Amino acid sequence: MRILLVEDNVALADSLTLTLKRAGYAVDWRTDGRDALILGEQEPYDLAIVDLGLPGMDGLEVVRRWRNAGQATPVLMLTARSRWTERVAGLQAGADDYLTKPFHNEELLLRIQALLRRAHGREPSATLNVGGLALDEATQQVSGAGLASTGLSATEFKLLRYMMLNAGQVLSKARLAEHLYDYEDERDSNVIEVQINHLRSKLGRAAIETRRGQGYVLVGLAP
Amino acid sequence: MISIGRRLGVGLLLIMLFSIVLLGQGSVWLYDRAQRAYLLTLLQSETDSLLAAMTPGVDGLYLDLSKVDPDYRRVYSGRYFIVQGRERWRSRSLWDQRLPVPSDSDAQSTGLVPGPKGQQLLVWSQRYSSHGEQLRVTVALDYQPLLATFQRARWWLWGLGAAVIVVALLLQQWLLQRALRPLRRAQAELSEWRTGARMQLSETVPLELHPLVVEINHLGRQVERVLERGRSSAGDLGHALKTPLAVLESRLDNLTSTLAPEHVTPLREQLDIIHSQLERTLQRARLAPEQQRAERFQAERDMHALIATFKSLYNEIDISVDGVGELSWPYDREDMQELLGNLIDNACKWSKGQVQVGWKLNSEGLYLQIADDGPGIAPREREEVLNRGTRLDRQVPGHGLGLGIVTDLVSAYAGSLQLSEATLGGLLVEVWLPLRT
Repeated sequence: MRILLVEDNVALADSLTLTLKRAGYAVDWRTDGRDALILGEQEPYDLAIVDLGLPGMDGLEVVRRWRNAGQATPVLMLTARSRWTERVAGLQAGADDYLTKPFHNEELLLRIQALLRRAHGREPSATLNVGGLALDEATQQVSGAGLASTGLSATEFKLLRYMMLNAGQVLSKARLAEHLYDYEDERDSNVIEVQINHLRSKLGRAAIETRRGQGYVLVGLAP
Repeated sequence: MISIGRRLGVGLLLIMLFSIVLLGQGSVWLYDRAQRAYLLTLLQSETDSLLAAMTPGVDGLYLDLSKVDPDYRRVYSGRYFIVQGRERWRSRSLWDQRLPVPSDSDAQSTGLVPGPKGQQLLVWSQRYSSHGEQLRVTVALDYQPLLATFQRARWWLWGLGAAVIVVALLLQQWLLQRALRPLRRAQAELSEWRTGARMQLSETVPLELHPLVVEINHLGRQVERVLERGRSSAGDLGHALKTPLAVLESRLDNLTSTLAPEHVTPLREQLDIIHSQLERTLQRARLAPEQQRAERFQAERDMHALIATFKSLYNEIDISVDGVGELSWPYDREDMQELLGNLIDNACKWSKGQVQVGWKLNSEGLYLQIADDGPGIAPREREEVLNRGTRLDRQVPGHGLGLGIVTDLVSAYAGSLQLSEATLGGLLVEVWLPLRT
């Protein structure tokens, strides 16, 4: 899952980037509204976290332009202004949720989780349940029928979460790389292959099918 | 309090009384004088005709009565003469009365002399020399009928004057009321402004009022700007403080894995206190229902936007709105959004799937009720929740300053808030905001 964080306060952005990376998200951080506008249109982000007061271009305006351009990326608005007037304005501009500063990290993560699940047409619940697999995002453990709770490495967790949210779809290596690594990361498709093999060894070979020349499909555990 | 109308009325009354007395008395006096002067010339010609009636006879001059006007023969006719020569001839009309002859040789005064039967006589006396005799001819005319006429005329003048004064006063007061009408309209507009029904006074007023209205509009805009500046600086302060606070919270959260809970928890509690104090203080600074902004809450548009927001935030909850009354609420738009936003948000957080919003607006105020089908609050806890403004939603994501803000808002509007059990099973919040008059 790749997230665009647009926040002009360096200290807050640092702390949030750390929190988000720990939770297994690839994060790109921008401070300027105009940069964010362009980057949001170029890169296939799964979610954007946008602060309202930004240099260059107001957060509301950024979201409004994305929406006008047909960009459907879920947007979580961050704002220090907690009045309903501003929240309504933010949501009317096209944001999907808002969070007023200050907030707890868990709350931010919960909101992100809920938005991502909603964007992929899933009900928000404590664990992500797909194809007989249950992924606990807080502990980064997977379980399922005939599968004891298994710990995952950070990269395995990222990969499995993305595949579970996009279960049934053929996911190319390029697409996986785009959504799992941020702008600066080295993208090596061999790494994806290695991680897929790690997942297969934990979930069983049949859990992930390979479509030659196309990519991978998450099938899950056989019932 | 002094009244402009009464002052102007009294002023006009005094001016009118003075001028009518002056004019009435003056015109009668002038006419009287003119009349007397004219009558004296008549009397003079009368002496001439009397002189002509003096006929030379055997013993000197005698008065030929046949040549004298018959009026002089009728008793007390009002016309008298005395000719004093060698003899003394008196008109028969004098009868037994004496005609006071001016002692002075050539006295021709316009003064009146009391005559017989209460008559007032105008007297002309002159000396002549005729046929070698010295004659002194005195004629008199009763002026009393004219005096009576003047008196009557004076009464008439008083009456007409009084009527003119009454008409003038009525006219003046009517004109004054008309002239003050734009002022009253401006006052009505000002009170509409105060309650937020308009944003400025209409400038189509009489020339004299125009500068005043323009000044008031200037003042209004200035007050608006000052308020706006105050609000935005409060908002800026909030923004400025909340981002560092967010950094602190976020850093602290990241430390929980490395620090023991007994170190982290007190810090977190203090941060929460700072946060809630900041939030409520900002809210109080912003709340000023008596300095109302012009923009009213439009139930149609704003309620719709609010409900749409909640539907996107809580898409599994059914929110129904039922309202009675005018759609333009005489309350500040942002305050109402804040009030409804917090109440509906609270209801949605607790709800299992149904939230009902009801409102009723009449001439006395606004009645709001928000009901949910959640677990509700036990009766003995309700009071506590209201008093402390505690967070109702400690377990549910989102910071729960909502009800504290709502109670502040309601008390700023001198309203009341009540918690009870809804028919849906959850909490029913009832808010009453009286209309300020």
